[in-house]
Amino acid sequence: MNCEQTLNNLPHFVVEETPETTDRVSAGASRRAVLEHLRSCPECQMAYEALWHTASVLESTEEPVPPRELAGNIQARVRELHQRKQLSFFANPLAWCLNKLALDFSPRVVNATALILLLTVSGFAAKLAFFTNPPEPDSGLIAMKQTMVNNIRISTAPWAVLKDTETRTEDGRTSQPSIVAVEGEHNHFFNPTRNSSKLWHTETSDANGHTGETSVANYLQNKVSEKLTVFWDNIKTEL
Amino acid sequence: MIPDDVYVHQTVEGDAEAFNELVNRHHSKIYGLAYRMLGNPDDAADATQETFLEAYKSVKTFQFQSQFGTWLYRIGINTCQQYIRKSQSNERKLTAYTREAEIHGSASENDSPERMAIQTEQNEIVQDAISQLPPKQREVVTLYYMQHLKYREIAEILKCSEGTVASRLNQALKNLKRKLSKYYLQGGGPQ
Repeated sequence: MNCEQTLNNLPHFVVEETPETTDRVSAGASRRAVLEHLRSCPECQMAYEALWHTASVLESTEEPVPPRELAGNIQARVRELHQRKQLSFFANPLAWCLNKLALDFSPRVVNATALILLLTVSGFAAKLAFFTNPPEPDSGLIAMKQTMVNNIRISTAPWAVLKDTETRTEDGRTSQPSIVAVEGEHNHFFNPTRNSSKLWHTETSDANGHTGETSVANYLQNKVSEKLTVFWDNIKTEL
Repeated sequence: MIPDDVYVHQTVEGDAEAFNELVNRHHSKIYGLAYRMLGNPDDAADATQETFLEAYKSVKTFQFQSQFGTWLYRIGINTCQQYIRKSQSNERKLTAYTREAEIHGSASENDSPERMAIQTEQNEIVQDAISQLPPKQREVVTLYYMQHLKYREIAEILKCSEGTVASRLNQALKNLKRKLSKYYLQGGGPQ
């Protein structure tokens, strides 16, 4: 074995492993061969001594001492983690608040409180979302709304219905408009669908209280005349 | 003495205090490893804490095929590697181990002031030399010389062969010899 091979393998012989392990990891350089070379080579002996001193210095170096509070800090964090593990996911915000307030409750208490809070808030939210009746307007508002609806109907529908229904007599005067309900014509009064013959008749009652059916055309004519009167009266009043 | 595995079983079953017993047993070793790897007491304390918290979180994955200490060392090495990657700054190396040693009384009261001074100086020189090693050599030196583990255990922790451990230690010793030769040639070594 030459000096280069010996120097490459020297560190293996400085460490305190078993001879078997040393032989196994020293890439073929047997312990016996290295020791024989060391006996006959002063330079390699010096290198061996230097390595031996290095190893000695390392071995004699003191273990650093951990800060006294380190173990306690770790243990406190472990307890905290353990407690957090026992909390349900929905209880975490409450636990965080309690922690901020430096209040220490068992995870069961926190879980139960959080569950009650969660159910209460959920119930309240559900009530707001699905079970709240709209506020009832007072009678004045209802009347105003009805008036507006009537005016809209009067102001738009009659022209749509009455258009093209004026007929001129032979002496040039126009006749009274007669309303003809036309199937399929769109207006605000009536928008019948096909095959809905029932809609073409409506129930009326006379002065004596007798009820009977009348044609939609007559009914509409009466209603429109009545509303037109109201409409023009309104306009006159406003003017 | 109750084996570590018993406490590990109890921890898995939900007993945090059993894990805290393991903290008591192993925190000095993990702190020593972290200190040698990271080179300053603050990072070492943080890394030690992270190591144990990580171990607690993943204790259910411990297979009982190796010793708990070996498994803990592996987590510690990984944590330190993350620290080394994160903090590229070498300025924080070697802060006040001296101060720490004084505060926590690492030397016994019977030690003479001269001996304490020599020991402190040696610690600083060795730590400085170790800190200059590449991380893989640093791991092996720390585990072998500071934690007194065998090749087989180190290979298990680092998940490599014994030959690789020996080779890294070989290189580390050669590097350290250059850095430390001045120290022991001046006669400042341990008596």
